[in-house]
Amino acid sequence: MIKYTLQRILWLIPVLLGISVILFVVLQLTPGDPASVLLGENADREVVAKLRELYGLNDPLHIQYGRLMRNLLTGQLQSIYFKNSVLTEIMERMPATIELGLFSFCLAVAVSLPIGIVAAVKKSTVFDYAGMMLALFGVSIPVFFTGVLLMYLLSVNWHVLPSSGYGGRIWTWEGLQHLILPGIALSTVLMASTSRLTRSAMLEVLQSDYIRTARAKGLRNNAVVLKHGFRNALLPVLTNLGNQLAGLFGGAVLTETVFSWPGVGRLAVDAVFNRDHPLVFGTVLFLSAIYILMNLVVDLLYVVVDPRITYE
Amino acid sequence: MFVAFCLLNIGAMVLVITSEHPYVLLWERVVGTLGILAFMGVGYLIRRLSLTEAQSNFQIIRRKLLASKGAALGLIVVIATCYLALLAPMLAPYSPYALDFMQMSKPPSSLHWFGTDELGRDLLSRVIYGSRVAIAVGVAAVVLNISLGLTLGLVAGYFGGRVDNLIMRGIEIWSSIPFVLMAIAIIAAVGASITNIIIVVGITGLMDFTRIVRSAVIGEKSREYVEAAKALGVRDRAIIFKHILPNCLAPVTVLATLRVGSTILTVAGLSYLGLGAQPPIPSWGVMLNRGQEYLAVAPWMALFPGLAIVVTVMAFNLLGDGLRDALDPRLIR
Repeated sequence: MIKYTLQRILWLIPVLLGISVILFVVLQLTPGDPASVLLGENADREVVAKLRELYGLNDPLHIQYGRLMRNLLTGQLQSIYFKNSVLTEIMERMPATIELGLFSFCLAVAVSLPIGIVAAVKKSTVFDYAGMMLALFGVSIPVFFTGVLLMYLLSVNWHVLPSSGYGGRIWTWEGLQHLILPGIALSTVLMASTSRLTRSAMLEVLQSDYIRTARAKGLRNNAVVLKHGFRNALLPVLTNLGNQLAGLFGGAVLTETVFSWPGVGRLAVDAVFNRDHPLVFGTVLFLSAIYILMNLVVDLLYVVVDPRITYE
Repeated sequence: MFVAFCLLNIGAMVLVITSEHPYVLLWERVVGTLGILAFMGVGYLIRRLSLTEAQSNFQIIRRKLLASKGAALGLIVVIATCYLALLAPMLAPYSPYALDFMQMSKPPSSLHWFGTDELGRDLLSRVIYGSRVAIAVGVAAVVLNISLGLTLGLVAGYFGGRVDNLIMRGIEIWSSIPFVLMAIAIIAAVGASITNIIIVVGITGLMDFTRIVRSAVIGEKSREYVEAAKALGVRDRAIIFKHILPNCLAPVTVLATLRVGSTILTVAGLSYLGLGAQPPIPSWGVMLNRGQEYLAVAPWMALFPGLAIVVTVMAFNLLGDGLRDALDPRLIR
């Protein structure tokens, strides 16, 4: 187990290096150079040249890449737009992203697991069809449309909640109010996919022999469904949840944009529009690293959930 | 049913030829005609296949697919959307680009069924034209996904060993980058346009196809018929394409159908961010973005493009789910 974990952690290094090379190459493809974008269309040629020199944009590519990586690892990589360390900018926005991600994750789990279980237990009844219709709707609706709908109903029309922006940390009343709409919008997809998956996993498990045995023993229905059934249906659900949570931290770009949420995803998009290459590089690499780490944690968690799995 | 289908096509054809909207261009009539002919060809093919043997594989799948109400509904909506995209110029009541400064931000009325946007353009026409961008980009990106992912998966699965290792490691790295961010970075580099978004989504979404094809190939490779072909001296390429590939197509079909739906979502998202089709091209994502700005005064500007996305994507999901159930060999009784 320890050997396996170490192997997986070591494997992270080439993966992250690979991603950094891909990103670096992609950013090199950009037509306009950052120096002239920064100074505007009509900038003096000499000034542009000086700035290029300053940022080292005239050096050979492998030297630029080496410097980029060195600066990144030592935390000295500077954002062109914010004139600040990339790491500081990311860390400043990380709490907002984590709050949003965790909130919608908890919301999704709290709603989708019961829906999935009920739909499976009461298969082919009204509950099942209603739940699955909702789930189908949830996977088909784009997150920015959910966001806009919620915004229209709850803030433009009924003035119940603030429409967008960040109100403060989650434990303050103001912060929580601002969190609700983006949280719901972001959780819909996860909710939908998880309840579908829970249903199909439960259906499979409920057909197995040990469930029949458990029922024959005269166990109460709740105990059979939850203790014998759900525990064994948890594995595929857990995989999906883990991947999706990783995605919530890394890919909440759209939700963050719709609700002007000051998270890392939006930082990345803004950096792209500002042609702030060091910041794009830093944010995307950082979010990818989180994504990969989360997936690793999920893989290792399997052993806890299902003792039959060993990594030897 | 086939008769109804023929009548539908004849009606569409009449519409294409006789439509008198001044903004319908000649090439659009030509494309419309060709498209209808293609639809009819596909319909004829399906009809012939279903008439041949009563117990053919195709028949069983078709019957199972249509037995599910959801899948049938999905199929109908998907076909309708395709016709809408093909015949957009003839069906749209106005030009999607025509500005009308007397009719700015008007709510839905008998004149403009979906209302008008902030520049007085007819929203119904723009939503109809938007189906063109959605379907074209969705299908093109998925075709690119399939052609790249399928090739990599076939090679990895068939040859195994170091080739397999190399490809799968590459895929693992590629898929560990958050997809939306990667797409954003690439589009920022190469510029936002419809062609670029097709290429980017086509390249970034190929891993699932590679994985699914690889595992199917590994399953098929050890079957007797492959060994027989090998013993007969058939070349690798022929074995891969003529013997193994046709037996791996079922999961690819299901994934592709579901993927068209999710690609439409992705592309709408990227367009919403300003990284897809550029205004004034009518695309649902861009329209929704504009609609959000005018949410307080003209909510219909966001509502109708959003509904169009939901309905289309839902249809593809229904059809994909139905196909999966119909093609799943474990369910055959």
